Amino acid sequence: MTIPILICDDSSFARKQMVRALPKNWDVDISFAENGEQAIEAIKQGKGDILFLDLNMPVLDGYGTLEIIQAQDLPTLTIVVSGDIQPKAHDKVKKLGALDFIKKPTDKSKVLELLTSYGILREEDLLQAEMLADSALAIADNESDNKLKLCSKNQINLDAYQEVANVAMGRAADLLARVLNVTVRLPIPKVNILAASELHMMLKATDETSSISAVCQGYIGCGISGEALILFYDSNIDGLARLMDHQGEITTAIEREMLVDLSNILIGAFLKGFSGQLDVSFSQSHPELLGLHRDINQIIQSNNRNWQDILAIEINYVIEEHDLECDLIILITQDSIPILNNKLIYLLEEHSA
Amino acid sequence: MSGLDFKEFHWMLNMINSIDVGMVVIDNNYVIDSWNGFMVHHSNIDASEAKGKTLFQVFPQIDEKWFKRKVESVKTIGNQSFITWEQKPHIFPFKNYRPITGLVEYMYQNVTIVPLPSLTGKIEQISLIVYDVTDAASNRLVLQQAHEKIDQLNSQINALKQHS
Repeated sequence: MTIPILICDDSSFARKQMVRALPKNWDVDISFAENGEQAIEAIKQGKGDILFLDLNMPVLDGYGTLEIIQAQDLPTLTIVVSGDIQPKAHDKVKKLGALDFIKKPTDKSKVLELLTSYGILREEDLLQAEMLADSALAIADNESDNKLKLCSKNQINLDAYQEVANVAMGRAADLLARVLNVTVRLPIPKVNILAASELHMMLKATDETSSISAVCQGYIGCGISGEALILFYDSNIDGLARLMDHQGEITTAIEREMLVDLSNILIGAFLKGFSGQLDVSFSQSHPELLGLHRDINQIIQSNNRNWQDILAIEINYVIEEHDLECDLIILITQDSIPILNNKLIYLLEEHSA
Repeated sequence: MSGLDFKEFHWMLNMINSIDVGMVVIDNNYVIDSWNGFMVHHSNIDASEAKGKTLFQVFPQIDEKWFKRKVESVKTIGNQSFITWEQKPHIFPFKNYRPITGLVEYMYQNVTIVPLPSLTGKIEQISLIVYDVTDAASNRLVLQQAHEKIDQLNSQINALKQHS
């Protein structure tokens, strides 16, 4: 019997990765949804006896989707697939009725193990439909191959970067939860090409608006280099002091130290998750408060030549408990893109092997 | 160093590899024996790849004659020698650690050449220690420009005073 399977993820890269992680020769009929609303619709149409559900999505996220499934008692078995590996997230989805949790990037053997252990995948499902599923997978493979070709040229396949960023974000949130002892509201990273003028604007704003402070830190490794930039808006210094567990008087020097320390943690946590997936290691420069030692205008004037087509991953962190908000922007230089593209191809192949 | 066991070797290696200073060991024929993580990251050439090649093969932009003269004197005297960024700003062609908000495109370096005597006391290896001094250098350059501007303005003021 063909089992209707639904894969719900806002990233098409992630959806394809999930298809590739499914057992070969499994007699399934795969549908896709890009957000929770589409998923609910598809389940109601009987397209999702089994649902692979991402947590961070626009429109309706994974938690909301689980709530609706539970409330309306929809006929589906949900397996959450997410980069958010904070223990709290894990507990929360189980409470909301999810069967289990798979960590991104999805690993083929883990998926098989899980499906077998829950009795979802039975021996007979495999044997009966060898031919059928093979052809379905061939189609999926073909699509992925197109994707690979896209990657291999020096073009930027934003989708692949988006997915790596999402996973890195999940790992970062887990590290942050442990180091800072707070829950970090998990945002969806924005990946885009930054024009030089946008970067000018951003840096100018840190210079002209006294309420914005910026910390930057260089990173380099395996031919990949760039800078991480953190922008703090209207820094709530008391909140910052509580978060960093600082007692006593807050001087300007201490305020700066706390900003730099927190930046280093936020940058480090994300870069760790990012480089870990690509199997590279980065060395990082000393973090520096921008504008403190040199004039921002000088930076803008002196460096135009390096500012063509910078890939940027933007993440908006909100730590509600301490009323803190900041943007982390990972800037990746143009020279790094071909090397990163190659790594992404490798990553794709590895998880489908 | 005879007491150096494997565990100690492990952390020492870790430290050498993660220190933010470049370390290169070459033999008397300028063939690279090894270099540390700093050199790997900034050159994007693995230590195993660099091993066995001469320094000038890997970095053809280094002025061979000039560099050999420096190193030979280190071997003869048995004392270290220094190259500062003011003499040679970029011995190794590395990009600025901060490629986007940095003021200059390339990394400014100070290099120390250190003789490494073998157990017999003969100098068979040389170590190069590479410091990233981009911040200090670019700040100094900016300062210099500012001074020049002040001097220029001063002479203009003086000229105006004389006129009036």
